[in-house]
Amino acid sequence: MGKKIRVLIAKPGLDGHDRGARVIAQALRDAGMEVVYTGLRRTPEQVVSAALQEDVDVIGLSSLSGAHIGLFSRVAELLMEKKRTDILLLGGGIIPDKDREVLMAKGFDGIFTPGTTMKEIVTFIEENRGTAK
Amino acid sequence: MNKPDLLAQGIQAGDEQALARGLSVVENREEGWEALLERLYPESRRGFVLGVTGPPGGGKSTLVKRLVEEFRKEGVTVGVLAVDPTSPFSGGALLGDRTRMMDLAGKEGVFIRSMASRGALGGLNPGINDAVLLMEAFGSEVVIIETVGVGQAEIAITEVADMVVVVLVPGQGDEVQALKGGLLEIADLFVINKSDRGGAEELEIHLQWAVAGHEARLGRRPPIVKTAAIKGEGLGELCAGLREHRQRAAETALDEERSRRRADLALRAHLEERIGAAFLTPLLAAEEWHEAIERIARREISPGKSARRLLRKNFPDVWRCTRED
Repeated sequence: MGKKIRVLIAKPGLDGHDRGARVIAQALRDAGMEVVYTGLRRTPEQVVSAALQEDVDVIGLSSLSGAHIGLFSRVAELLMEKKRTDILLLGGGIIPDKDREVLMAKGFDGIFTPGTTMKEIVTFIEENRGTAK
Repeated sequence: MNKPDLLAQGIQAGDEQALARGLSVVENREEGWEALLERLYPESRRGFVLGVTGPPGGGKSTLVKRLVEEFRKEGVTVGVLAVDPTSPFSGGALLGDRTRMMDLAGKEGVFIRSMASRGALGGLNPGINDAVLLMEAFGSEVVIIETVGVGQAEIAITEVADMVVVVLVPGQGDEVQALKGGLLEIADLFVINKSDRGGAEELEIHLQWAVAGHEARLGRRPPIVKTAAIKGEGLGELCAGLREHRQRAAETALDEERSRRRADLALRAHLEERIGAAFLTPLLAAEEWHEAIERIARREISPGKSARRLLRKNFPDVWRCTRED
């Protein structure tokens, strides 16, 4: 049966635009991954709880509302608390360059903004998953 | 202590992360999977396995969420295995059942795991029995299996579950559909979900006709419950139906019959997996396999004859047993 890359795609917070998250979820499915899609308006606690039960290799968070620093950072903190920084943590959406550095310092492994190709994301996941920090 | 022992200990102690990892180990057949199952098997208490099946879009996930909430009100611990289809093209899967159940994330006494069907027919995952065992060992008193959205003939759930709930919605076909064999014959209980929509009464009448025909064989008439899962309507009646079934199953020989059926499936699955790995997998990778495919596709040889030749050449003992003369 063999190992498949498992990914959780989530939208924390209140913004209601999940088209981007769904497009990513489909692209990762088409790249042969098993993608758990959790839908809109999740709390960071729900996201981390689901990711741990699903034993995913990757968490992908999407935010278009501007609340990414608070919400994304909380997810990173919770993963740190659970000693699960081995999970590849990615963010995407409308994220200014200066915030990218803040998030990377908090423990994110990659931030993908508009213009990124699907292939870049798939390759990034394939090359970087399971590399413990 | 080695890894399977540690995992087994963690699972039995109720450690969520150990269960999460253990489920991956058995699903992927990672190193130590057999040792893990061996460690857990004799010690795990039997839980009540509830199968929820039916066509796509019928509201199975929402109904499962509601059922979990009802079980939790009574303090019953619940594990959920939610299966969605694997893409036959990419091998990937989009597992979306959790979307309807996110209110349950982080709640005590609930463990939800999404699984892809990974090529299994019948609406389940090939390792579903092993996953159920792990959840039982973890302490889940009820394990709910939500199948892939199914059509008419995917009935593998009957071989895993103690009770099967078939979820239908109004407006998906005429009375002839209700008379067909397969899915509608496996229900211990029918749910007509989205019953606040038009057509629920007609569906109920058609189902009543259909189940009357099953009564002679089953010795009982599966109850029909109308729900509107999103609004939380009809759940009291549904839970009463579940309780009644469990009680009857315990009083009659039904529990033992289901246990035997589950054992039968588990044994067959393990045998087929080993036979497949020993015989079929190497052959599928061999040059002569591809040559045979080419010749069959060009209609130079029939599939049956080609199979006999492959058997004779690669497994002469098996070939001798299967000769018709």
